[in-house]
Amino acid sequence: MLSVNGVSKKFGNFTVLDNITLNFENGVYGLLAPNGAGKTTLIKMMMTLLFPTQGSILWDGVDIRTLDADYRDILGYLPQNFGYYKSYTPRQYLNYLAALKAVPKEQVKERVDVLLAMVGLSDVAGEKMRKFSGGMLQRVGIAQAMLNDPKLLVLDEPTAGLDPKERVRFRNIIHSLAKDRIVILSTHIVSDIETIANKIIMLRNHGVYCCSSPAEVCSILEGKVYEIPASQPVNEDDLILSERQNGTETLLRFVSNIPPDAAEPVKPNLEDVFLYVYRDEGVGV
Amino acid sequence: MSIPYPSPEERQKEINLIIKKGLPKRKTSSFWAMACCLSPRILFFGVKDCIIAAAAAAVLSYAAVIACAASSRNYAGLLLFLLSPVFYILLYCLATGKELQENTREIPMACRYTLRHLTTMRMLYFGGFGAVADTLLAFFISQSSSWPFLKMLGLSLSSLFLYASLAVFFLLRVRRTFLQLFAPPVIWTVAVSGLGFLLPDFGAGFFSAVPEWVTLLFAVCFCAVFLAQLHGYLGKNKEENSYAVG
Repeated sequence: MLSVNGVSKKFGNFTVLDNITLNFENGVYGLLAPNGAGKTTLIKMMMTLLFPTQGSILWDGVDIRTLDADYRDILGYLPQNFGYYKSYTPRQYLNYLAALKAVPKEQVKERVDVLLAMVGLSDVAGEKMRKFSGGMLQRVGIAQAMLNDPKLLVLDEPTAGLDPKERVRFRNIIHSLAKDRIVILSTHIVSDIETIANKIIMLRNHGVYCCSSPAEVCSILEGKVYEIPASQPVNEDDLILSERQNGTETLLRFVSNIPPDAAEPVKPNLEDVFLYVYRDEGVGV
Repeated sequence: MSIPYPSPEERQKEINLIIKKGLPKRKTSSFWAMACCLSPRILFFGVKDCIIAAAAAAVLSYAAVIACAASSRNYAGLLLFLLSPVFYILLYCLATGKELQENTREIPMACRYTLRHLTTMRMLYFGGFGAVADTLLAFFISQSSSWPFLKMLGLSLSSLFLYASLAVFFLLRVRRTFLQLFAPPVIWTVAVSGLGFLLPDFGAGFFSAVPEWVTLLFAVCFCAVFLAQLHGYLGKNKEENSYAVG
């Protein structure tokens, strides 16, 4: 449905993205990369806020620039750090954006009520947003993105700054929205997408490093991830990923081609792959 | 071999889509649909405080203009021409500045009616508000300085729509939001200072001598230029913006 064909983006002489090709069908896609890798630039191009220096983005085979307003009709977008109106209530804010999205007037009230209930804000629908927590504001953001029942829902770093409880709540909301639409969730927090994404897209060196299911992505490190008590030495070349408490002892988790004898093999997870792939980009312990 | 033909509904849907894409869009009907959707309540959502502040500041500056015009009659036309766009400038700069500061412009950019549509409609309203304010200003100055009302009106509206055209020109030709917002008022202020302080007698003499019908003609012409530029801005293809993060 959505095709990104050989898209590159340059700002002056600086190449942010180079020859990106991706195809999206209904389902949840996790766009995973460290800060500064070009996630937001890619998203802004899909949202028609920026245009590619090269290549094209197609919706059902038609260039999104040609579709223009018809394409924006099927978009739902929650930007990173979205601005809101502190002196207004969520209901007023949603009514405002419903007008910009050309939602038929007779449907607006019902739609706003449904969405406020969906994100658990019905009780505070009439309260000013200046009193809201970060999690509540992000839920307002999700509600506005869903106003036009979009076919393409894009959420840019939606859980940044949220506490663990709000992050779980947010993941559950995303999961409930994923039917019959493309959901693209950009993040650098692995746990946000590990359980809900059908496919993981990783960006590296301005291009697509992989676009596969979480299991396929994890298979990159199959048979290479180990744990060892912190008191035991690891090889100089081994990459330490993380550490965890196991009873009274601390275990180191690391990637190795030739592990020490005391090391126990473990099943790699998405965070291991993330830390391994971006090890040269200041990511890791 | 069986060929999977589309159902009658699918076929009709595709035919409708082809027809819709093939036919030129009727600009007037889409404009009115937009105008109906973007009521003043929507257009000025979140910036009502800016409108009140702009109105208060404009009233004060207009009162000063009226007082000056009453005390020095020769300079009434010059003062009116230089300060007529004040309300428009304040409305646009305060509203846009607040939205930039509060980062509320990104979500509308991905809606059916984007920031471009909002800006176009706002410019029309600002032009209308400015015209009403300037008509009142022209009336009061003509009362206090005994200049003909129609001449005052022509000078005032010429000035307003000249400035408004300049502002839309920057929207059309300049990419950087900062320049779009601040370059027109800076240029106008420099021009105003130059004419008002360096060549006050030339300016006063020129505006005294110019015939009434010429001022009205210029007002109509500048208004037409403003509307034509706004039409161009609304129809302009979106181009590469200058920002990106992450």
